[in-house]
Amino acid sequence: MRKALLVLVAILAVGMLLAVEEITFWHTYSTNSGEYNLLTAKIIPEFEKAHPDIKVKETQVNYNDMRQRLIVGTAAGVLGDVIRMDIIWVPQFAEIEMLVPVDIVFAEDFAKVKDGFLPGPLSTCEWKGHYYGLPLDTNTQVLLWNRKLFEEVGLSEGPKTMDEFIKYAKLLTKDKNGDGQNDQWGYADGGLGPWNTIPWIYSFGGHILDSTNQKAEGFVNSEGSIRALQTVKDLFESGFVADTIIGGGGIGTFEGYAENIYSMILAGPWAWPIIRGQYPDAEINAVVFPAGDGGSRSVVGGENIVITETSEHKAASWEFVKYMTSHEVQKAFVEVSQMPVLKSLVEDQVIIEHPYFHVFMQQLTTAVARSPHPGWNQINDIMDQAWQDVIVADYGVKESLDYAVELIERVLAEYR
Amino acid sequence: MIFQGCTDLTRETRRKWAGLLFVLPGMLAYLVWTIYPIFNGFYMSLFKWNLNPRIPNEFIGLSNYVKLFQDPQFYVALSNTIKYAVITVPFQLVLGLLVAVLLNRGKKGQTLFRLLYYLPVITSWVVVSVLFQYLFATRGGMINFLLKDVLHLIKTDIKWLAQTSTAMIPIYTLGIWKGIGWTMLIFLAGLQSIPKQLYEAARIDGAGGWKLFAKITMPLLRPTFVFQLVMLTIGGFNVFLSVLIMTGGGPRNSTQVLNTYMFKEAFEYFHFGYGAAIAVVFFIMVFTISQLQRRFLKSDPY
Amino acid sequence: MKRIITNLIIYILLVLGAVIMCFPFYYMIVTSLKESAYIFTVPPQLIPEPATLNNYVSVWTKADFKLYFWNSVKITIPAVLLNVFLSSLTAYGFARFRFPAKELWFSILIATLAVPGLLLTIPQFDMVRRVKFLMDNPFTIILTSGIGSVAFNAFFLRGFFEGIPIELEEAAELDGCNAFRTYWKVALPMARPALATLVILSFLGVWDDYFWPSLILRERSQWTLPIGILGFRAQHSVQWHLLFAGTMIAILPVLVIYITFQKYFVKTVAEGGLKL
Repeated sequence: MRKALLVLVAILAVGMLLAVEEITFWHTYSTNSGEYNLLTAKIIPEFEKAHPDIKVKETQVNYNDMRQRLIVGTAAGVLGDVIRMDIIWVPQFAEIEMLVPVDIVFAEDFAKVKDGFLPGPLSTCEWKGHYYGLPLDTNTQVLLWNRKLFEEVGLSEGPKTMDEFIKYAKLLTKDKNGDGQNDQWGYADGGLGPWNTIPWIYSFGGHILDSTNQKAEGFVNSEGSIRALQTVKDLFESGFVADTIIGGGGIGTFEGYAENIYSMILAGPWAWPIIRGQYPDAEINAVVFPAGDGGSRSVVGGENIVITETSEHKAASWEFVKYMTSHEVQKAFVEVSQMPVLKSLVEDQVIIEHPYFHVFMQQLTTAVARSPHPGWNQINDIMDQAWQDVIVADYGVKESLDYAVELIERVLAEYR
Repeated sequence: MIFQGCTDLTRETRRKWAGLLFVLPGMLAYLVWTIYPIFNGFYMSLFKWNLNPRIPNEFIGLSNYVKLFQDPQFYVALSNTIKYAVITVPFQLVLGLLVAVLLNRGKKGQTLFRLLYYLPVITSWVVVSVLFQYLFATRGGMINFLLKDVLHLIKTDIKWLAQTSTAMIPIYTLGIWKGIGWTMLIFLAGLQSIPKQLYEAARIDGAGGWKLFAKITMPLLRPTFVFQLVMLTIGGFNVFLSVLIMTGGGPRNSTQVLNTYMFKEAFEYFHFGYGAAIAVVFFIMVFTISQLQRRFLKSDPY
Repeated sequence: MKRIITNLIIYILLVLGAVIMCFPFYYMIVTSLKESAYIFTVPPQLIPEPATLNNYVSVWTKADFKLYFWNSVKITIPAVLLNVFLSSLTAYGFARFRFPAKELWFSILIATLAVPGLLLTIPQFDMVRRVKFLMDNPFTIILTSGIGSVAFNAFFLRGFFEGIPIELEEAAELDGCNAFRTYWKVALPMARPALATLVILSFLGVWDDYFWPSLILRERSQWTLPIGILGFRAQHSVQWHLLFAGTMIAILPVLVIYITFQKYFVKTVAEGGLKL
């Protein structure tokens, strides 16, 4: 009798062990900003407590390697079950059928949670009518303005409109040590790619692709787009914009801002911990991007959480995905500067009381995603090149944008 | 007589088998690890290859190659790569040899100097690329600071990495800087194995500095020289990380080289078949050049 | 008098060159001793003030560099041994023996040097991942690093072996040594400067390898130094002071190997010299 009981217990124990599914979660949460610690110390253990039959194995990947890892992993069929993926990569991996279309496979659940997400971030999960993951965290860029430099020229607030911006930029550019070269600038940014220029393009009423992401003609080279590019070029030619915008290195935007060299810069929420990390007493002031004819528009960044087609634990993975996008977990991540993607948190105390998230949430309500299209990398490079052609090499604005349209239409054709 | 013949034959066969056994482990490992992937690459280039192994690949024959030869960006990358090799290789060879020769004569501080010259070689490409990016920064960079504020050679900061006209210069500089220690090391090994007696004998015959160098050192260093030329050329064509990190191919494609172009097409645009075609053409080119170099410059059979 | 002037000029040139070679290095060391707020001052600080060793302490203890260091050591030493052994075997075979299609095989070996390594990674990874044992296993890295540069090294060593006077080996053979013993006891010792150079280059190659180990060694506990160092490059910022401190730590063993093995050059000259 005893023996039989022991055998039964043994079988049950083995059965229970076997019933535990292990899912791997690939992510790029970094250790130096507390994200990783939160994940491993609190978030995952609590999930495992609530789901004793699922174990989550997290794999931290350096951000600069994640893409390589994904590519090599795809070719070899070796990928994590769940991946925290940069939003601009999702359509490309969806197109090669590596991601689970959650609106089909988990239709019921998806329908329930879909409307809880902010529209901008949610749009980055969509390709050809299906959703290939859920938004996980989002961010955007706003305009930081340096109060000290502003007050020196009699200004007390960041610019609200584009006209004010242009006026201020001129006032704030100076040659302080009289050596013939400017050493204080009205504006500085790090590049001319869409991540930096979408705020300009869309705030001027311009576009890149149309709303169905299938057309470039009439959008890339629309009136608003042309005016945006022309304005930035004029600002640069007049010397109000620091050289860093055309590359070539030099003082980074954050360092320049804190050192009172750059009066206005574009930055995401990571700027606060980074600037304070080096300059603990820095004062940081932010406003939404100055409004032009298109309003105040900025660019959406962030990560989505996806499930891979090669996963053998799709249902368990979906539980984890739902958990990571739930109200409580999203709220917890706010502490480590991860902006939530849920509408329910926009008016939450934790956001309102947050030292700087409210201006970002405000900006997010009108922010524009970089076109979710598998050819985005090519479109990105074409746009970058077009802006460089104008600003660095003095090509005509309309010509460059028309040429960009030609090239982009070819890319779009590849995927039809 | 007959026995003698038998033993010779057996020795020849024995040596043949011995030779094969010596090279077999290395060749076999290489076959699996390098040669098979190369054929895989050739194969890939004939398809519109999809990264996902579960999606069938569309066979397009030589279309990728046709597209390649009509692609202006390919020719830009090609010319940049050739320019890089043509500029950096001679400098590395000449300067490396110069330093090796200078170090070979003195006894004082030789070890220290050898160490200092070798330091650039032992730092990783990623770190030095990032470092040079900083050194050549338009504002706040060390180079402009030295040229403008210390030596007063220039009036305004040079926009090294932001202008198409100057963007390659920091990249050339990095390549040469990093390679000199390597060529120096190998030339030193070569110089040190030239028996001193040869020099002494020549000196007795009345030969002085230059003559010694030209008639003894150079000819005996020839195999090393050719070897280094071939390796440095191959290395020059393979330039990748420094460009990727310092400029990403920009500004406006002025620093795009074959490897960065291939990387972009394959890893960023997912045009893997096309990338493989670039690799195949690259390979054929480099192989041909290195074979030509060996054939025209060697004195002894290799 | 002319002698002294020439020597002086040479000396000055060497020093100038050394300064140019080392300056970027100096800049790295200096930055590694700075506190993070002082990294981007304009003009850049040439002497750190305040100077601190905190970065090194923090990198070694908090950032797990002690662990990464030993991981690197455990991989690099066996890999170098494997590499030198395999390469010298192959090179010796090509140098001293005649067998069918010998030059053809050698040309194929050399040809592989011209292939851009980038595209090989995918098929290589595909092969490795099929064998579960090989994934996340440092042994895999030892194996692949040992094999990886055989072509180059064999190319390099073959010339050295061919330059050694064959008489010593023939004598050994008459004394009854078989081919392997001759290789092991006679040829290898004679090729010392070449082997020493090989150890230096090989060590560097394996020690600094980043991309391939980062693909295979996915567990944090298995990371090697290069993976650890590049971990300081985050998505939106780079912690230069820590990155450079880590780099300095990583450079030390390479320097040690270099200093140790470069002695072999001088030694051979005293023994009567070798022909290349």
